[in-house]
Amino acid sequence: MDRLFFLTARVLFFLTVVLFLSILAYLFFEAVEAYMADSSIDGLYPALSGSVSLVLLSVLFAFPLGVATAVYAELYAGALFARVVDISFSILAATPSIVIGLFGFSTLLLLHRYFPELRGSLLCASVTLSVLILPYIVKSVQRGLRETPGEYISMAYALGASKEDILVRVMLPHAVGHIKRGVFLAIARSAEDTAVIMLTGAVASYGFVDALLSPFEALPFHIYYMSASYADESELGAIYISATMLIALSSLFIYLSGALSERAKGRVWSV
Amino acid sequence: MVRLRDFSCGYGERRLVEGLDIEFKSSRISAIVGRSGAGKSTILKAINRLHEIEESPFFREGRIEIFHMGAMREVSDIDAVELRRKVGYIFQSPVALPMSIRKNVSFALDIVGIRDEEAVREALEAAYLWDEVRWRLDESANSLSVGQRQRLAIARALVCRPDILLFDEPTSALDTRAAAGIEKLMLELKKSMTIILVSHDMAQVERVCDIAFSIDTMESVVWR
Repeated sequence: MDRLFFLTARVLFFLTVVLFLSILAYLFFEAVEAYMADSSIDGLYPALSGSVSLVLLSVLFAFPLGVATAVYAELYAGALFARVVDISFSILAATPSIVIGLFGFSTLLLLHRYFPELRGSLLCASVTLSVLILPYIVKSVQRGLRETPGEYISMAYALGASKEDILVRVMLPHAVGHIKRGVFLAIARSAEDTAVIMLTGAVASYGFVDALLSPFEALPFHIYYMSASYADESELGAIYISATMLIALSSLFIYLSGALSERAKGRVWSV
Repeated sequence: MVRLRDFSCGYGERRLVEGLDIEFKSSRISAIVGRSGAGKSTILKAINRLHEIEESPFFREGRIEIFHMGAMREVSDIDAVELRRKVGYIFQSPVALPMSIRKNVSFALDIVGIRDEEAVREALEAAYLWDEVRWRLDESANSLSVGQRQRLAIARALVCRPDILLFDEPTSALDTRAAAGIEKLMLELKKSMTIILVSHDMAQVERVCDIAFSIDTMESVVWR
């Protein structure tokens, strides 16, 4: 029985790895082929600049808010409030992004009554995306704080540390692994999401990002739009190049956030 | 010196200690012995006010006084942070905070913004650990052996130059050799401070303590 379980797990593991690598390899080779055939990818840079700005801004908005919410729920709020936060963010995490996009769109319409010049923009899309990724950050910080061993906390109190000292010097550094995973998910989610941005400011053609309150191009929307309307092989090739760029962009952000969080942890813990 | 007067404590409806009057003098190692669950560790936590961080419904009556700022003072009248820096607490499990050896020792200084490498060195020397770690202060404290980690815990408490050290079964997780090292260290430290030891190991109590107080019989045995 054990052997059967082991073999099944091994086969499924290799299937998953092969499937994942096949998708990556397929996209990569298609992108290279398209690039060789028509080396001009200048048209994709505006979308790349839009995606970079979008990821940075949405994580920038969501991260402090998420950490503060989780810290308050875990350390200061009562058990009932912490439970409410838990349930609310579980529901939010399971909410389809089109619904979050609709929320952003409705808010935009409401604000438009008072500020007629307001329209779909990078700022609007980033704020709405930050709502989408907030649960990943809140949940990961909460889990990290909860899993700090009680003996570390007792020991720190016994050495004269206050609750805030323990939070900053023991609990948050201990939670870095969880926080990092939450931020990775948040980055990947904000980089790939199309539903939210198509309702809140992304357009097919605008040019480079020039202002927070202007529309913008983004890679996922570009892929979506081009897939629905491509006319020839060269346009199909541009879709593959965009997809490869998007994967590279997510990977780069994930690498950078991992390195940054380890550096922050090292500063406090010096190991 | 630590003095308990008409001291009672417990959790919820359960009274663990009733009307205790006892004095723990300085330059001595005093033991609290008794059956499991009798409240030995609870007394130590009450002295250091560590029960305040627990969510359990702890209560205490009577007075706990320590010699502080030239007079005997009730511990609840002293700021908890200041009290815990003057009353070191060594836990049963030799756990190191997951940071470097240096950061572990300087933890209590770091939280008040003091950077004192000399104090770190002195604490490690006093805990007989300096020679073993002087070349690898920036390595993770988890690379230390169990016995070394317990001595690190003592160094971590010593860095604040406490007047009182509370040992809560400090050798129960250690092998005989490491335990002997801790006992030797306690005998050295008692020259300059008040030490209270909670232990189940009666042989150890006889070896290192000057006086033992049984929480079961409410009687003291003086050896030295």
